[in-house]
Amino acid sequence: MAGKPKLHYFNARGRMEPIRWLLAAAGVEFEEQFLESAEDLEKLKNDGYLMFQQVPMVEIDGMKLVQSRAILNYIASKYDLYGKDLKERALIDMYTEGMADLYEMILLLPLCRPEEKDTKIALIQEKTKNRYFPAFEKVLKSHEQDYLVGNKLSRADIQLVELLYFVEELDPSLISSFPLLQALKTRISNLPTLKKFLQPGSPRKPPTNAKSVEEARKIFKF
Amino acid sequence: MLPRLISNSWAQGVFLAHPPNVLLLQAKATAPGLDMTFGTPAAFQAEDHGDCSLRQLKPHSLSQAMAPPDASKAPTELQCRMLCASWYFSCSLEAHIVVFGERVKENSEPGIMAAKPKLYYFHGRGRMESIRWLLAAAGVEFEEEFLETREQYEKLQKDGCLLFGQVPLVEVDGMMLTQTRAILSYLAAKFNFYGKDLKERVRIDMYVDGTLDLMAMIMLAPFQRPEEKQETLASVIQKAKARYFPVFEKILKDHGEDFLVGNKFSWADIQMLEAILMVEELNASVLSDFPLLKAFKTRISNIPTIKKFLQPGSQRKPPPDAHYVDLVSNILQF
Repeated sequence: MAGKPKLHYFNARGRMEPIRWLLAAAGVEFEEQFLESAEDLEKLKNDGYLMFQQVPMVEIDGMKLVQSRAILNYIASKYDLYGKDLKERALIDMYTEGMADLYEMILLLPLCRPEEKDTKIALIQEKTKNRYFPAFEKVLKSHEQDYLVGNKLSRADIQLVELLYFVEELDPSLISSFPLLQALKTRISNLPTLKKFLQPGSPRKPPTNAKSVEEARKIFKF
Repeated sequence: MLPRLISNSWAQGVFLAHPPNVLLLQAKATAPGLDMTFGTPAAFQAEDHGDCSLRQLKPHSLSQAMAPPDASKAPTELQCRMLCASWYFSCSLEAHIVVFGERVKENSEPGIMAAKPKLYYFHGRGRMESIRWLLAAAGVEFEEEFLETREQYEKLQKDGCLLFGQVPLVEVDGMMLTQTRAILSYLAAKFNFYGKDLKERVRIDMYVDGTLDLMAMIMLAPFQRPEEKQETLASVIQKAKARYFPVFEKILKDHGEDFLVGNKFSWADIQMLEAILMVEELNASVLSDFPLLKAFKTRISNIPTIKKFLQPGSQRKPPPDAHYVDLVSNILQF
């Protein structure tokens, strides 16, 4: 039996969540092995499973893949979510790299010092409203198609919608002046595989809380 | 109101005329002192068509890179108008048809040149350096436009050339590409530096992501406060020796081949050399425990295109100095 991909991370969103979204959207079932202690991480390192001593790590097709971008690129190619040619891939990459920049800001928010938090949130709001959301709204407007690239579902749509949910959790008002983004969010959320993923009981992880941060500090020692 | 131009029929004619091995068609409007990516006259600012924004958002419709051209399919009116509008305010018109590695003269226009990629960045390494390495390794000549003032930068932003308002920007194959990794991946694939299949590609991705992480630390250091900078640089050396170099030494040891992936020169090798040289600038003896990486460094440095890039007078940029840090801080306003 072909093994399911196996995700190694701790039980939280972190840098693994986009990978979960992409596999889920592609309709691929996967297993998860959660790191629960610093010892669990040490064991993975000592067994030589982590190329650069870091997670995420995904066991797939006989390989132990690390580096979230490399993993996402592989999954997207394998499941035909990466455009039809080099130029479409370049556009998809450009869009998803921009998304990753905004995602990273929100991802790191729980880790910043309390006195910095308000400034960081304001910066995220500003960049969302003035830089990122307008760029993607403009792309959708330019071709008036249902998907960002090539009139076909790609990782760009899935990753953008994940980002839209992520931003919504921070500030639901930010999307209000972007009708095409709202429509994309609805449309992609209704794809059968993602609809299922968005329901309770799926592998989707809840928003990061203080307890998660503590757990991360313990496991990764920072 | 978009001007109608004779170029409708021109564009159609050229499109139908291109032979199967044509890699791209790029129309570039030139006029003395007016670059369509940079100096859009104010009268046309309001138009979406004709500035950088649509050209970067939609792959140049007339270029069928990597896909077999369909000569029976004429470009749509919108595609022609997109092209045409951006030429409107130019005095002369050059059309380029580029066959990989060759120049082909286009009948209707004199003085045709193959379009070189054009890089927009500061006169320094930063996030553009890895891109310069890749182009140089491929033996591809490129042009550079250096940002020297805040005004230049704001102009690029206003002209809609920067999808997220940021550089690096590379104009290549009719696209205005931003985001360093997107540019690098595109060029790597274009120059056959990305492995022969998906499994090789993922290995290259893992390796380059590792080296990019290391180089990113080095790149940020000059912009940090002195105490932080010392800490960062110490961390770079430590990570190079403990986390990154051992991995690549082992990879070379395990397969005994000359190159990191697939026994063939790839993007991974180029990045590796770039990273090694950058770390050596911080600590000259950093490779002392890594004999295979030492040999690798010599070997890759001797590849003709790389050797040329490593010589004085090439487009390789020097390490950042105080002047560079000031310039970038002023232009990006941080």
